[in-house]
Amino acid sequence: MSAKHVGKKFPAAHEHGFTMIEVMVAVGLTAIVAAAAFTILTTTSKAVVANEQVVDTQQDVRIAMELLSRDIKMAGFGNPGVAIGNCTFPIMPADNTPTGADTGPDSIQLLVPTTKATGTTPWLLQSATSPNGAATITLRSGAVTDMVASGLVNGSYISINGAYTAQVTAVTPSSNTITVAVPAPIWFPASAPVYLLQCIRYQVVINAAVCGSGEPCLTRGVAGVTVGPSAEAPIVEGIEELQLAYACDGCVATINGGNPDRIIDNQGGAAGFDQADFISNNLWTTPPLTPDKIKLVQIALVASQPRADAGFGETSKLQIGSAGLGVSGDRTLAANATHRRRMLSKTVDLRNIGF
Amino acid sequence: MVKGMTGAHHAQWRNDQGFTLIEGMLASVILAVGLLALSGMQGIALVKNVDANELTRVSTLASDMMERIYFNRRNAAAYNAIDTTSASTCTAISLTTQPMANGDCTLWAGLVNATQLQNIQGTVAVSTAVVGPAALGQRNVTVTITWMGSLKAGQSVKRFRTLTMQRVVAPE
Repeated sequence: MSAKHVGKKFPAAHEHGFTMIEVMVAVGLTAIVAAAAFTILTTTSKAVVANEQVVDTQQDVRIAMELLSRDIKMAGFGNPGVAIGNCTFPIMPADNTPTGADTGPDSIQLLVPTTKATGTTPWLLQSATSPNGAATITLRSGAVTDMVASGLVNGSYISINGAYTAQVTAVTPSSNTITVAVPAPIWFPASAPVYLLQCIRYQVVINAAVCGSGEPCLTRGVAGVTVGPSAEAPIVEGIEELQLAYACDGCVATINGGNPDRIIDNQGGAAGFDQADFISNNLWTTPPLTPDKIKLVQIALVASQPRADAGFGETSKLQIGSAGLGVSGDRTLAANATHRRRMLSKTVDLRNIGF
Repeated sequence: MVKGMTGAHHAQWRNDQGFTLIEGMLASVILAVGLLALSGMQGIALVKNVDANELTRVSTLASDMMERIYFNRRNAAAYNAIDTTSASTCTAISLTTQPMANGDCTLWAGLVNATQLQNIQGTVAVSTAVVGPAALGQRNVTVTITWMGSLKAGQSVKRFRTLTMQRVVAPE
């Protein structure tokens, strides 16, 4: 091989390649870009987790408020004026600690109608009843069996079409009939809905067996029932706190002679209607301060995210009962530095009680 | 193989220069800008959550006032012109003749201001003219809440947001 030959055949010998400096600069740049990419990846995944948790928490508190305030509004629908289950009155407050500051969430029992307007066995009348009165009503096929599963028994109260409430004296699922006196001239068209009146309890439960996880949940159902559609079952997860305060009218004997006057009775001493007139600490068993005098309910709900923050935490110091939040609850919720909370409070007018 | 490296192919190879430092750095900058845009998307998602939360809180507040007016529906007219940014609109409501409206105004203003949303203002307008048949005495009630929303992603200016709730209230 000649030198000339070498030069022609092995050109690499004349190539300079990269210098050390160049390689180091290139490696440095690559490292910076890779580090930036990884940072964005980890931040993104943290943000996604945080985002999902926030969405869940916000959704939980919103849904819980929607369901609870709707039932509270409708409490007393078709009220027959007798005790149904635990509901001596259409609304039964149960403060956590009626004698002082609460250490846990409140609960409430409400007389509410239950029906089923859709599905294969809607609770609707099969045919119109006679204007001359009726002793039994016939429902759509399977509806009575379905109602029995939901707690209909001999002695239950039903409301037909939301207009007439009566006590059931016999239930015959095989013929889809319910024995209930409908006196003349009351009659109902076919497909009129039939409501079963039930005493429903709302409460916050911290029980993994009920909630399906270690986090607290809001349950709804007939108190003590564990099976069937009326059982106390979790309806919203992540609800940590429920505080209720009640404003009443006609509940103070010295105001307007103890008669309702559409002005909330003064409880706090200060003249006029103020936050102190919402009672959060009371047994509601001493007349005239009884639940049938309740006119407004203030609901405060707190939802917390299911898991601790994965690094995107805002130090949430939300407390219930502090003046800044304007909530009437009598429990101060400890600050939680790892779980975001969302709180909603709302005043609800009772549509079916009084007036 | 060695033979194949001669001629035109060989000359072309020798002229390849690779990337200069400037080119490499430019590529990095472009990539960095792309990554930044990617991370900006997270900001958008977070802002949407904040927006949703604000809307939920504000609509709960508006319906709170609607419920209060509904309870005191015989005196719905007394709630006209309530403005949470002006305490005088509450004191203007007579404590003796309209104790409920007076109290509702003060309590609601407290709740609205406690949200600590920027520039939040809640107003109530009740139509003086009755709506529909005069005998029913129905009035149109409008609860409006305006506030300065959170920063929109990619914008430096906050935007005003408004929620309006309207309902016809009859005395009975």
